[in-house]
Amino acid sequence: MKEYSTDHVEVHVCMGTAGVATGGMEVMEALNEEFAKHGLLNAESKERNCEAKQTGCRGLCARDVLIDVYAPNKGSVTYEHVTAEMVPTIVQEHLVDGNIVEKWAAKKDYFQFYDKQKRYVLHDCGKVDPESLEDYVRLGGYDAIKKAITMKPEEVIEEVKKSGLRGRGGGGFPTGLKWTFCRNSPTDDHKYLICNADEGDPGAFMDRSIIEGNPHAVIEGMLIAGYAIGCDEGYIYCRAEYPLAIERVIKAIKDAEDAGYLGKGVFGSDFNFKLKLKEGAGAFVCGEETALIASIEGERGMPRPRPPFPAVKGLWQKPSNVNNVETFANLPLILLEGSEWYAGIGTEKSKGTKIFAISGKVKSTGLVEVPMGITVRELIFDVGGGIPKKRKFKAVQLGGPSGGCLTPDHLETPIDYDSLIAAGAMMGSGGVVVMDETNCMVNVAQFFLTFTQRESCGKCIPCRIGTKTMLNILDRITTGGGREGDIELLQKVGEDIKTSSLCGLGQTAPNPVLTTIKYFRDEYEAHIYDKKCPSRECAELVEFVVINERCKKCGLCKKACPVDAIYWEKKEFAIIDQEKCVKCRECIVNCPFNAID
Amino acid sequence: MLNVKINGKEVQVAPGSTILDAAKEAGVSIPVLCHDSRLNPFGACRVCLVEQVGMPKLMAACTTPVTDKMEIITESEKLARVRKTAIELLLINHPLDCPVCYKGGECGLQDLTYEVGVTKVRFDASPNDTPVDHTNPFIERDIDRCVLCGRCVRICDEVVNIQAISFLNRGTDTMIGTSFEQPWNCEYCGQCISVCPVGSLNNRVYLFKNRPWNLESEKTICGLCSCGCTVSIDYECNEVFRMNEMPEEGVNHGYMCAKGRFGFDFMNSVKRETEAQITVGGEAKKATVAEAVEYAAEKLKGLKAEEVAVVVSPRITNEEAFLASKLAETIGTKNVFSTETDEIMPEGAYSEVEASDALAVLNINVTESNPILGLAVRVAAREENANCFVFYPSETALKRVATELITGNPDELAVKMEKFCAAMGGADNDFSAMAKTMLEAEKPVVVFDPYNKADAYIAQEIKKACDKVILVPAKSKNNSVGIVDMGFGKNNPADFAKGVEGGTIKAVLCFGENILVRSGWSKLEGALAKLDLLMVTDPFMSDTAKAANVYVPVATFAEKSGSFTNLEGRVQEVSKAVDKGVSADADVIAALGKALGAELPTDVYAVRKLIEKEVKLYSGIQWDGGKVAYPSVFKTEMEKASATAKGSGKFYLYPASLRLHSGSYTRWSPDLAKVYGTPKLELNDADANEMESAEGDTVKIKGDGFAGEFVVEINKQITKGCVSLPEDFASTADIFSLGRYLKAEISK
Repeated sequence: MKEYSTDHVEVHVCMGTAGVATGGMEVMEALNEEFAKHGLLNAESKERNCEAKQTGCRGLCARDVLIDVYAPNKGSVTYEHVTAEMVPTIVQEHLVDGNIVEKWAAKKDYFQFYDKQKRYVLHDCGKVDPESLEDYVRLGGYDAIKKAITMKPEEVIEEVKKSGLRGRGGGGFPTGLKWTFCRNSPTDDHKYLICNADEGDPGAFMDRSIIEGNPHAVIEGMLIAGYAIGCDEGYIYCRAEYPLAIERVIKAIKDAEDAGYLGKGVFGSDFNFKLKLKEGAGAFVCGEETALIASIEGERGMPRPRPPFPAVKGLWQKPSNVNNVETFANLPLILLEGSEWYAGIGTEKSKGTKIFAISGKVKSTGLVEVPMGITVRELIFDVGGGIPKKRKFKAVQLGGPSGGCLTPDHLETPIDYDSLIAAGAMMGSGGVVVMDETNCMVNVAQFFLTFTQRESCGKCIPCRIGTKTMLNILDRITTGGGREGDIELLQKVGEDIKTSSLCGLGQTAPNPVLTTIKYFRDEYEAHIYDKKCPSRECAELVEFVVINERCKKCGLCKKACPVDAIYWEKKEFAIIDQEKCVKCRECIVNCPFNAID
Repeated sequence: MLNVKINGKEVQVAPGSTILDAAKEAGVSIPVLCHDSRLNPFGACRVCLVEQVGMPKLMAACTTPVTDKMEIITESEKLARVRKTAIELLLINHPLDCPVCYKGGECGLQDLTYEVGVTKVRFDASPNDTPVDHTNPFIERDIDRCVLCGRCVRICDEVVNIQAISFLNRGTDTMIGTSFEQPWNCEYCGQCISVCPVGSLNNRVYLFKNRPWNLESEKTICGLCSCGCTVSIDYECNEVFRMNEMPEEGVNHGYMCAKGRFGFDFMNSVKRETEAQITVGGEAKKATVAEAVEYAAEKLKGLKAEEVAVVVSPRITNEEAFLASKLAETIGTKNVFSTETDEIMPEGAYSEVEASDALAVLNINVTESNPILGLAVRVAAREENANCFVFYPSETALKRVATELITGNPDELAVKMEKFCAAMGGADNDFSAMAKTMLEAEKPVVVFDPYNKADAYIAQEIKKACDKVILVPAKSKNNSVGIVDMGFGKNNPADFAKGVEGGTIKAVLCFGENILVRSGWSKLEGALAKLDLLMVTDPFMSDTAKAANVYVPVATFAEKSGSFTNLEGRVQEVSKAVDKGVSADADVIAALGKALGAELPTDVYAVRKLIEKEVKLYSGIQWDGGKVAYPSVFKTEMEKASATAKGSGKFYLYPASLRLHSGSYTRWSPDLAKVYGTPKLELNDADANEMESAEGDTVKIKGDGFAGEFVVEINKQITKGCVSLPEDFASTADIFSLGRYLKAEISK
């Protein structure tokens, strides 16, 4: 990995989705205007020659717009929460006068976020211009495929096998082995390579950031895989809800084609590889590989029975290999740095790094890349910065709607494929949702199940009706209608759905419910038997009365109430008008003393 | 072969077999709901889950291929639990209206509920309640009862190739429906009904008429067209309630068409005659069959043998046709006629069509005229390596599967077909590539219309150019082939018209034929009235029966036993299911023979013995499915016939095939007639716009020697400048008597 260096001043603006959403474009424009005003554009002196460059995600999206100022031989300075209004000051003071604007520059807590990370796959994300092939090449891009084609395909597979890389889409199947199946599968004409970029878990944006931040790395990874397996055609199946990713992939494919990196005779070899982008149509289930294949074929996105596995009969009934975006993005690294180097990172059975999207109740929400084997505690408290508002950590949902909840007891669990499964969660694609004491676990289970039952394709009975039935039971539990036996019923049906569903969606959908019952059974019981929500998140089970013993008469609740249902005078206890109250929970959320129940 | 153990029992199965196949081999029953052996594996219902020893995951028996030394367990506590849960889950939303459900008593869900022993559902019931859809004239849709097994969607796609329906929405909102919830636009074949395990897709002709446990079934051959489908006649107390598919059985593999599935009710029609009738001096009198026969015999005795003609319908059985030829022998006349001739006989079988890698469909709308043959063409044409070339004046339903669809007005099409034929013979033209595909194919097949002389000539020339081509002349009626074998194809049908018109024929014995709606014969009304004797048998008082002086009501194919020979030349047995209290044609013929001094047997087996002795082609024939070996397709060398449209006018007129009717017989079906009762003139939408006429308007058609008024049906598939009319209606038979392709003017 080449350290980023520059021969003139570069200001990198985050133009990932979060960057654009928080005003990245305006910051870019402002920068260019200021540069022009100060005569910094194409200036002769390399210290004065400034360029504003769009780059992808740096990870700490909570602090966007982030900009990094790279000066020749000086390293970089990062500014947080930048707006267009701040740009003239930054340009004047930092670039013209040469003084860092300390009040806006990132401090220790920003760099703490990166301390325990090992950003290998994301190394160039935030540094390269995702829309510039030259930029990627300048940082050593496409060197890995150039190296691969000097090797025999079998040797490339062997190298990947030795690296210990396992599929990053969730299942964790050894990538090299998967390739061998497809490579050995006979075909009369084509073999297809598919990149699964249909990332749809709530709170997950790993693949999105990679594609938006460094699309050529994915293309290069696909070239390596295509060469190793013997595929001559590839598809990137990207969900349509990622317009920026789609735009950048399309441009990257075109640039790579124009440069002769894609198409006939890749880098002068006799390896041909055609790459196309296929947009999804908004179905979570299309992340399942057989449903994804059906969708590319123009069929309804419904999983197909396996066997036959895609390696034997996949897209258009031809041998096909499906890998996740992150898996492909790992490949150039393995080829360039070597399998030995790669296998040196991580644990015995889980090698390399894993990218996680941390969201929920942590201080630093965003995208992180950590070595396999890091503990849950390190991930949440060191990288994520811990729980805000001095609240207590309660649980973490790993693996998105297919995963499970882990508790404070699991904080020392190392994050690798097998330890997570043993603990009742899963790696999944890398969604991490952190919950604190104000989160109701029944409500969390209900949230994830609402998602999976809505996203069920409707093909198999257990998933289609089973998840809805479980949700109905959760609905009644959270609204005060829970019955004796509901917990056991949920467990039984949940197990049956897991054992009998057709695809991974149904086979994992009950997990959030089953793990929350396992670890937070008392909460379920409180809902069912006491008709109480201990976390006061289930509005139907909250009485919305002020507990005078706890009330400090601060009046914050009155300010928060959107319907004027709270009476409060200075030095008086607040009173909630039950007639007017709409149970929106704003008072509970805003009360610093837990005085509303 | 692979060795597989099912519940400890060892069986050997071929590679590629599923666990379900192996279980069947082992005599082990595994419950299924979404599985249908004719459709691609789907694996949706999860009811057929089984355990493999040593594997943690359950697997679907219907989709998982077996591997060698696999050990499968089909019954365990775990399996019982997940199966039960699946059924319980279905019963949450499935309305429990079984007592009034169409499917009650033969419902897959009912049976499974019983089998897995669901006595109580652990979840709160929430029965669906949406209005029943009656937009399809034949198929009732009750989506509330749907279990989403997808069999209807799959059969409509994989077999019928219409894709009229699909899954809509996701999750619990998933339902079966059409694009944008439009009314069902389909061929009304009802294949979807046949695979629906529950009462979600219902046959409206049978709906609410009876309960399945009251019905008895008789396996027989459908008598409505030449396809020769094996069907079941479901009846109670001599009333037919259903004509039902027999899954996977017969040349039709259990598939049926709209006529067969929804058209059977003519058998129960109140319009059927029960008494014979003798008409003297314009006055009709009821009579017994014996009296009618006696009256006819007396009339015959006063005539010379050569003044008598015997006409049979291609609807009657082989045995009846044979007896009719015996009757003609008794009388001593050689005037035996039918609409069929022996010039062209069958060659190819369905199996050969289904296995073909290159098909040419010459100027026949086969999915309409012979729907089950059409299905076979579709099956073959959808194969990845198969080619299908379709020639027809307009676009047809085969468009979806055709490699090339060649259309044009009849004159243009004739030229194109001639060019194709020439290319098959080696000429270099636009059709050379197509011809090359046909010539290089392993199993080329040509389907053509044997009633079209010009096309038959082309088929003959193609066969000459490439001997491996298998010809499939698609004759039209259920026994079009058989009556010819029994001797009713020797004479030219035109000679019958000449004889009647010229007065050389003075008596006509007509068994089942409706002479007055046949092209070439339809103008004989006046001449028939002048005959000394016109004896007609028919289940209904047909146009011809009305003109008769002796009429005898007779049985339909459900009311008699015998055999039909289908378009492949396959002889298949017809079994009597019901008795409507009328004679069969065989009885009438035998009685008439007896009155004329001949002893003719009526027992089917006795007649067959005689046939085997006297009809060479049938000696040693297997009556329940044997294929007749014809020496050649063409009796004599066909001569090149002109296909040029006759007359003058802006429009080309050609005969259309109807999927809802075959001849005039099916028009007695109230359900078919409701949807298609009177002939309609099909017109291209652009032509209709130019003429400012809309669907349902009446337009005038006028050509050299004919004129008429018809209701317009707008059909975008019709080539601009062409119009079509169905044959076999009194009003259209007169027109097509003038020629197959005519020029005409059309005006409002």
